[in-house]
Amino acid sequence: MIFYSTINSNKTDILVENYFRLINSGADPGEILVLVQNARKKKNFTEKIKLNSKTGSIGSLNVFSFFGLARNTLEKNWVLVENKIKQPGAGVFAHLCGLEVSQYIFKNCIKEIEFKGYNSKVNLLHQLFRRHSLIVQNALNKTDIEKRERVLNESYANEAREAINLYKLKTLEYRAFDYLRQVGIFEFLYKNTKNPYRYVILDDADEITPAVFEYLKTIKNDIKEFIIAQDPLGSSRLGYLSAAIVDFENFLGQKPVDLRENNEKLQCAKEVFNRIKDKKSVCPENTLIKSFIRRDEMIFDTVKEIKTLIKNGVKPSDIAVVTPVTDDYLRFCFKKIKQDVFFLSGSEKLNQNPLVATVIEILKLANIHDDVISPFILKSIAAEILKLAPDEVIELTGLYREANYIYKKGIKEFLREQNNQKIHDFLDFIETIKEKNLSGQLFEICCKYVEKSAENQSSILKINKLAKQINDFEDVFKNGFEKLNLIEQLQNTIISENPLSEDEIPQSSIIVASAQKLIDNEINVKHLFLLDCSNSDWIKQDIGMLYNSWVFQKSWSKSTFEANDNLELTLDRTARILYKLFLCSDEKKYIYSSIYDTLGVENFGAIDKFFKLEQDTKPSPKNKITPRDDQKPVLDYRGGKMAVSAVAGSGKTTIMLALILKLLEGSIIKDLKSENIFVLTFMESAARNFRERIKQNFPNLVELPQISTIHGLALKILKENNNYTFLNIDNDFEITDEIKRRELISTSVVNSGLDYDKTELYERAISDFKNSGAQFEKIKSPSFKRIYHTYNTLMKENNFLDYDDLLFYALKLLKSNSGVRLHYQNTCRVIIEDEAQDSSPAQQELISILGAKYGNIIRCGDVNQAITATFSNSDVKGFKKFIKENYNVEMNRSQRCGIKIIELANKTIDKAVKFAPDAFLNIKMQPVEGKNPANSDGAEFKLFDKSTDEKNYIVNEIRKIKSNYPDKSIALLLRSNWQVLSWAEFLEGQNIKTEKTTDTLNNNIVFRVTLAIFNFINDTKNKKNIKNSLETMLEIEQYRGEREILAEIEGKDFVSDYFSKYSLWWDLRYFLLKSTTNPLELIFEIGDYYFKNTLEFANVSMVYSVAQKILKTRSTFEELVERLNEISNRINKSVKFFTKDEEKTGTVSIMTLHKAKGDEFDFVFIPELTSENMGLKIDDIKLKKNTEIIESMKQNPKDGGTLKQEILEENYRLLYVGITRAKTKLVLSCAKSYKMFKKEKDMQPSEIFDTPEAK
Amino acid sequence: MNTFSVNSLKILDESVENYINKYILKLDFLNQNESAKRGERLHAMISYYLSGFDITKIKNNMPKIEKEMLDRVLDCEIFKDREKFIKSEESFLVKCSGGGFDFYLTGRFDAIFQDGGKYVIYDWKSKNIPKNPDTRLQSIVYLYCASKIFKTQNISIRYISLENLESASADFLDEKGYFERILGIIEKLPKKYLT
Repeated sequence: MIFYSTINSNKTDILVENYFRLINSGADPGEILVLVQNARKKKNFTEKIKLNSKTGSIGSLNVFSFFGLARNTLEKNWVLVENKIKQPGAGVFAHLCGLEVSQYIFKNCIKEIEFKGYNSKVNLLHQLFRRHSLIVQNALNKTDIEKRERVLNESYANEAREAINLYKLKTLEYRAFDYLRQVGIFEFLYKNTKNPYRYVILDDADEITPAVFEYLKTIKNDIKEFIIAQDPLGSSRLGYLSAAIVDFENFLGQKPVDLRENNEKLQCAKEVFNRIKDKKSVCPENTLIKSFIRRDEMIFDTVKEIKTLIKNGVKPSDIAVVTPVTDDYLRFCFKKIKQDVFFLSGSEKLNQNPLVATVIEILKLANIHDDVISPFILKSIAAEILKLAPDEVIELTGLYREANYIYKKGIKEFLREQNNQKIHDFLDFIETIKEKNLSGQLFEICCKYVEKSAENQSSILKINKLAKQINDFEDVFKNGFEKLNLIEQLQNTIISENPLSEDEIPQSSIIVASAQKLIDNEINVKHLFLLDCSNSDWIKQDIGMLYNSWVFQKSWSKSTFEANDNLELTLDRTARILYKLFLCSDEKKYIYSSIYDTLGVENFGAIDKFFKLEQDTKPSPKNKITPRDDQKPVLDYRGGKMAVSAVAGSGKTTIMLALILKLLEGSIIKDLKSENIFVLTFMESAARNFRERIKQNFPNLVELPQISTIHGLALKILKENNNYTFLNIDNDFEITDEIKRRELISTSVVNSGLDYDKTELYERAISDFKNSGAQFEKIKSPSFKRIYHTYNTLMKENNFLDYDDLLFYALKLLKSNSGVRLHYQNTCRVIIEDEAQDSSPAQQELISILGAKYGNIIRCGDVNQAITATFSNSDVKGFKKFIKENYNVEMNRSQRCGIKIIELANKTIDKAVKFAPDAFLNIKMQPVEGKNPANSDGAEFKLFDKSTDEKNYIVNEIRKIKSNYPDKSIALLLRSNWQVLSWAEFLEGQNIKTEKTTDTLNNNIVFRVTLAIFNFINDTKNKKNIKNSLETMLEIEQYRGEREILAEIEGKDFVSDYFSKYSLWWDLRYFLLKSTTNPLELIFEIGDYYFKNTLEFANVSMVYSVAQKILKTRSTFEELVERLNEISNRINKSVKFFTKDEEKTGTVSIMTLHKAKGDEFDFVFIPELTSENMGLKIDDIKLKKNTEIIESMKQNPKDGGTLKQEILEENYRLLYVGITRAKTKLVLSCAKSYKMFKKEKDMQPSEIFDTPEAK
Repeated sequence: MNTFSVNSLKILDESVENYINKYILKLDFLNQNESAKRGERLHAMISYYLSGFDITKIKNNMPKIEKEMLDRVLDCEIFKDREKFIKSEESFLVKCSGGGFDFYLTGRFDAIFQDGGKYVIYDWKSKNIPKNPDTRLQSIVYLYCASKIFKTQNISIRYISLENLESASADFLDEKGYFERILGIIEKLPKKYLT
């Protein structure tokens, strides 16, 4: 009997009815096999039988999950297996262990097999495990596997086979079988034992694995009756989870009975399924589709919506949230719902639970002789376990820090000296459990110190999971492991989801789950929120270097695997998952997405594109832009190649945006979709600006054009659809940020016997070399060769890619894989490049490839603002050539600057003719009649005798401006970063509020405040440390009136209650006491307390991610704080803090000239324009030693003269950029002497002071 | 639906709070002790043997003391007459009704033998046998359930010490008394926990 059914068809009830029908017709319960998908369904089925059974014995029930059947068969027939095992060490039982044990065994096996040239050692275990899982669940034999190895042309097939075989042998040796090994042995058992069953009831037949189906095929002839429930559109576990789409009609030769209720819900789910399969979008009924810019906005809106639902009487259990990203940010925000929220999925480490973490620390303490431990661990023990009073805890920790740091005292010795009975009892207790095994110790600790209370319920559950893991290890390895090592390993393991025993789902909670978890548990609710629909994790691409979930399916029959196969199969699974999800909701669906993820990185390639509001089909922008005459040709674009050459302030961004909006309207190119428009910007901030402005114009637009920096695009090309696998790159590759890259390079430099200070030199050299595309053998310098080799080895070992690699690999992929290339060439129907003057040769090549099919390439920029060539790989010549060879729109009208400023900018172009004739193209700025600022203060030159005079002048001017024009923006533009810091310090000292625009982490207030509190917590005795922290905290509005605290801390102990008159003291004390919690959670606590608005709170997750990354390699709070301090003032562009696009008034913006590009201010000061800082004659240019060395390492090095000339040209353009930032007034200044290393040194003013205007 | 084993009934009888903590709130710490493990091993070996598996290899690899104990047990009279053997390690679930609610009794018979018309349930004890087998809660639950499963009252339970082979037996006596004893314990549980 085959039933076509969905989760809404009461199929379990019908199957239970059939169970009793069999019993009533005389079947013995022992002859009936009931198979369901998972442990929870097993429980549900069993409960239903128990409920419906009449009084008396119901005999032995054989209800099993797919995995449970294998386990049960192995348990029953263990002797058969044991008698076959050749390795010594026979045991009464098989060790039916968890994945932790088998991973431990597998890890050791991998050490014995050499995977030559394998990219990542980090991911190897994971990949091999997945391969093993696919082989087992698909019941693949040796021939099947070899066939698949050939299809994939695998380079590591032999090694993988060897590793898996060794692993299998080892598991036999240890008699250790996790659920996959149990399934592996199952085949041997059912083929060698008598089948006890005569009836099979199979629920969830659409999710059956080939391994289980093979079993059913084998016993088919013994079976009198099959009763099968199957959803023909189900099979959501296709791919890695190995569901097989089985034709049961054919298998049994029976027609199915359709139990599905043909209601609106099913129709809607079917429509979703069909539209997705057709790659079309759908607008289902009772569905609210919302798209946000930032993820935090999406989450906050969800929280608000859920609160409203509950207020309106909806029960929490009628609400479920599905997201592939159940991260700590989401967890923290959901606390605000103030209802029980049960997280059915999401990774959580054991030691994330404070009580478990503390218990683990006591375990460690019991197993060390007398060591030094972190004061924070002591704090946790004192507070959580010994329940000492808060003041006692602070005092004890402070004392220990002192004893530890100064006298290097071990923890036990220190504790013994304390006059506290609780502490002494604790020490005695530790001694008594010392000799026990680990599980015995854990049990004793729990009995003595963990209260069996309802509030500890979830902690106890986790402690028991830890105990189970320890038991597994003790059973399998006896005493063959170091206790401490094992604790270290287990505390960091993610609480694994054991398919055989799943946690209970509370009846009255809001459920948060992954799509698969919700489906697997058949959770049916009224209101279903699908979050993060723009996150590509929704569409899992289960292919990797050593596993391919599609080719390793039992049903795979093709001889090749193409990029398109992956796309089609993944789409099929996505359709099935969404179909099943739509069946899980009775009333309303909420489909929410956001442009950015929590870390500010753009989302792409997910399911949001399948859900669109009807009105989206013909969008029209909210704000129409009226172009000027010189801008009009841009909007008249009809296709083909076009250059837009735009002077500073000509409204380039506005007109490019207008063009994108027009393209989106569909009036330029027919049937053009968002995804067909590629926009490349130079800076991430510009990309964000475009995205946000498009979103403001089309609020309902779900999928935005592909807007990113070149590196963002390269990353997308590599990541989308798991394309990196075609380059044999592992899927856990990580992009190194500047800080990590520098670290690796400095390690390589030092390992090569050179000084650490050569790091900067080689940073540039490595980048240049990678971009040159030259081969390693061509490197001339032996030291560079060594360094490059070491750096590359380190990168490969950690599976890191740097930004240069991203571009290199994206290009390599597009050039070498026609499937991927065609996909992007078909998608990219228009490509727009902003700041084309800064484009590198690689970027230009990428654009040519992407735009090759349609040829619609628009490149926009200003060659006169090319200011990155001397320190990056940009190449202005390419854009110049493009302008020359293609239709060029010249936008030379600018309404930004006052007339005098425009004149000075144009004169700078003229002046360059004498010393640097190739610096500029002769495009002069023209004012827009009646539009430029009327104020005619214009440009002013100031020359001072001493630098202090210059400083005082600028301070006075700023004060005047602030008093006369409080609404105007002021900027100070400087040549270098250190000048920025020094001027900022100086102005702050003069009580002028500044805003440094640097890419340092410390520039962000959330980071600064978090670090200040961490620094305070880390050392409450160090006055200087406290003072620094307090100074940062006083920046926060609520403490503005408490500045006296700084004066008062001299000579007093800050933790004493003398300071209790200050609210800042109370708050810091609160965090000090709270510091026993996980530091990552503390970051959220701090963020939640101080940064109430969502934009700032969004940045909390950035700080969180920085800390999280550090904690991967450094475990203690002290190490975390040390590292945060180290990196706080370094440039780090990979942390993409969200910033307010607010009026820059009230503060003085201080930044480098380079950083100012694209910005504008009413008043601009450019001080310290010495000939050294801004050389405008060839004689002023001094080549830095590094510049020459770097050049010498290149394939075709330029001579010193050429280099100097290039720097000279760029200086002119840099000055031009600086001048054109000013709207109303510009002050260029210089002093004749500056203090250098505490000595006054005479300086020559820059050549710009040698112009008639200056004189 | 509430399902009670001998162990859970024993705890409920002793302390309602402990029962709630352990079986409802799951506030219990996982623990394994070595002597319990030894018992499990011996139970399993007897069951393997009774199921007809060749246990020589495993037995030879057991610790000497356990191997000796096993040999001693398997030398008992009962194992010589295989025809009387019915099942080993047999789980049971018996639905009961009383006090206005339904509940299940569950457990596992170590081995069942049939001698003439009589069912004998064997229960191996790692150490000592019970002093008062007739009033022992395990006897009451097992005999009551066995009477429902085998639909006869011609049943006894026999405890055998694996350590010294001492034995003690209890015959089925009083269905009503058994049920009242069981129900009496269950009724200690506050009504809200009876589902």
